Amino acid sequence: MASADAHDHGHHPHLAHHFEDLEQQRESHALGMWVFMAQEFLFFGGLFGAYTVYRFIYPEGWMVGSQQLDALIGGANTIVLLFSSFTMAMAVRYAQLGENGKVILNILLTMGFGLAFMVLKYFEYSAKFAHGLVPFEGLGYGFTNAAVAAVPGTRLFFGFYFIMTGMHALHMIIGKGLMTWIIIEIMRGNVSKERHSLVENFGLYWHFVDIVWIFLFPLLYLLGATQH
Amino acid sequence: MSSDHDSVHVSSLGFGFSILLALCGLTGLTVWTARMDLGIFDTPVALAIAFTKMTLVILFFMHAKWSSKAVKLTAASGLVFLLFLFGFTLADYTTRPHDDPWSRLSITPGQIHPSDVVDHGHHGDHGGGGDHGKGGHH
Repeated sequence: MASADAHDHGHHPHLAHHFEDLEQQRESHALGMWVFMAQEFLFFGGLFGAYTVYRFIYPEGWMVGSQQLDALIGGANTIVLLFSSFTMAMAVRYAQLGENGKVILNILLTMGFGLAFMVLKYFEYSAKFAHGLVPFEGLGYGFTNAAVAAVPGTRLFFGFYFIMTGMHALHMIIGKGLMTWIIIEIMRGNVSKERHSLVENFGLYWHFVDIVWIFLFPLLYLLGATQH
Repeated sequence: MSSDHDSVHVSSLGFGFSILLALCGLTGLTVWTARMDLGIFDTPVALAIAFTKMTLVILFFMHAKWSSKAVKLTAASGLVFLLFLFGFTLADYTTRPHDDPWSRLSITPGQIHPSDVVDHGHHGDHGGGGDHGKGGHH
């Protein structure tokens, strides 16, 4: 912690020199993170934009492709992610109150839900490999499912499926790394009631990952769910 | 200048849990409406529910409701540019004269289940077209 040397001009040990007060510091942290979040919205928005264009061009391909996906796993993962968002919101709550033990507990719960999501994702991806629905010939995986491949646009649909869910899963893996780091920072005493932007800003990132899935679930998994 | 103490909003556990329940309920609603045949409204309804869920998460889990104007403006800026992206894209693709893209989005070809086709791999050629979408159960 702050050594009592050059720091005797009377400010809080958790206030950086270039800020006027703790509130300005917190506000600056939040604003910077939101600029990054705006970038994240635009990044995934571009993928959804491309998805939209190709869905207009290949409506049958999107419908048949969606019917191959496991809506039960997709739905279960939606619920798992919503619970992880709730525990993350609670981690932020206790960080604001300065109750670091409960912060760590809720971050561990969030990591647990994130892990459950990845396990379900593993089974889901495995089934796609087994069914020959992986359109990455260059990497040695074939789109060998003749009946599905016969419908125009299905290969492209599965390209979008793997890139969009893959980028989403990558964000979750990075998120779990960040949560490990945050727990270490808390245990080092670098997070306090006065300075908890680390937890608060990571919360923004994790909730964003949840938002992406909120759109991926109906747009990828439920197109072919209509009962006749 | 200092409104120090009301600037940080602390949500109660009960409030957070009620948001969680609302989000789970809306997920159920998404599945329920997806199983109904709404024609061209299938996707608009699903998106309306997704936008509602996103709004709940941004306002209450991401604390946008209690944030400063600068943060609100920054949060909105990304969404505004997405509005441009989707607005102009849809203005093009929904108004092309040669086909009727709205009706094409609501087509429902026959079901193809992986169980029907899982053993048909490694045939090399991808079929003679023409009969796609008819390999299903019904």
